[in-house]
Amino acid sequence: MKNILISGGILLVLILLGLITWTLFGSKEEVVVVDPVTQDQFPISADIPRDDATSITISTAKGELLPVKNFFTDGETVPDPTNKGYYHLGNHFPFDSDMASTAPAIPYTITFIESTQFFNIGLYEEPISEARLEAEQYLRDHLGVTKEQMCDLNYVVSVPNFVSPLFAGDSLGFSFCPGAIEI
Amino acid sequence: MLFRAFLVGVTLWALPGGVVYAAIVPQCPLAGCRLCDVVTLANNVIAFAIQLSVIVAVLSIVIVGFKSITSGESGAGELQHTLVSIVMGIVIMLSGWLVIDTILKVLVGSRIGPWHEIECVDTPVATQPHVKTSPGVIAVKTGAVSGVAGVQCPPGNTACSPEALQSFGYTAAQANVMSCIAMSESAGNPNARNSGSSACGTFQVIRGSWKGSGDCGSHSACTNAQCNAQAALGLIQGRSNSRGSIYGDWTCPGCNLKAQACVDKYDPGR
Repeated sequence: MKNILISGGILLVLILLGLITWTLFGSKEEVVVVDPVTQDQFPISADIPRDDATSITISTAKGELLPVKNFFTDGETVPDPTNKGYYHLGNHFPFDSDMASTAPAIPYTITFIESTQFFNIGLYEEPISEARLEAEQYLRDHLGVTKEQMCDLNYVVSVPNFVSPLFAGDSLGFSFCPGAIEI
Repeated sequence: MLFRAFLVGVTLWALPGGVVYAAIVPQCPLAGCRLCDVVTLANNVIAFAIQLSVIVAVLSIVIVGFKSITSGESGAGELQHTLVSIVMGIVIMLSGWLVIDTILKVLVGSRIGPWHEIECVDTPVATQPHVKTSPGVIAVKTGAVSGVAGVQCPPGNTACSPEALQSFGYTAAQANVMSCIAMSESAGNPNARNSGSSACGTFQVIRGSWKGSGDCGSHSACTNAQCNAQAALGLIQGRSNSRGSIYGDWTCPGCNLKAQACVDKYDPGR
């Protein structure tokens, strides 16, 4: 009788323990911790290409070559000191983190990623409709291309949540291009 | 009694501190801790105490059983009494837990769902100004924030495209979700800064939440695309031991409605 009580009691408690443990931790998944910063993912030059040519060619979204003004040497394009192969056309956020809080607001940024020939345009000030127009005008002037050619670029225009929750994350497009979102 | 205390002490001491911490302390979202996180902490403490008490109950039974075996028939009475007490204690404890858990859920507005799980509920986002319409426009958005997922960073954006994030160590599902979230957090810009906070970089990670190692160990590296991706991945992995969404640092109530839409679209069920 005594042994039955002992065995039964232990079994009961073990079952309860198992149930509670399974309930609390049963759905967990193992996640492998990976350190992604082991090497340069995109080993390309950090300096502005020293090409004296007044025009260069860039790849469009269709894979065609488009001759444009050499915006690398227009005096307003600066290489990103942190991310190799990133170039900022005109406006950019302060590279010095200590200056970030005191720097004036910027309406937009245009970042060219050399390895993929990609233009990333971010709008960072309301009204974002005006910010987009300014960015479009700046890019057109500095590339020296038509609106139709602008639409062929490998690019995205978007706005973050902290500027516009309504349009955050959407691909807004250039205002004059097919598929653009009016804002 | 001393032996029992010793066993409990050893059990507690042997528990890995990190596991206990991760199981109890919830990861606050980037925007800071909320009431929901405090309640989740209380709930986790209770859950941990329950587990601990069950361990103590098992040990008690083992000790009493051992004593009853060594002391012969005289120990049977004590064993029976102890077993009844333990079973009654567990029933009362679990009943009390159920009541408290229900109260906590009602307190934070969580749905009445699985026992012991607190689920933070998104607060509605304010309606945005109406967007004008005009002829000749291809696509127009109007009204309130819809919660519809935006686009992912395109392949050309090496800071946050799904391909780039996978090369940084993300799983395919994580890469798809976080690529979408990056667009709504920073417009895919590793240099983006929110002047109203320390939020910085592709995933707008604030200083207090920064998790990095090596060259990425400090928040001052937040504009480095790889470092920011690493920090974001650290936040995701840090939440793998908690019961909320692993993307909770971005999907928290009032944080970024589009972020939850990204999760729903690319990693449903999370």
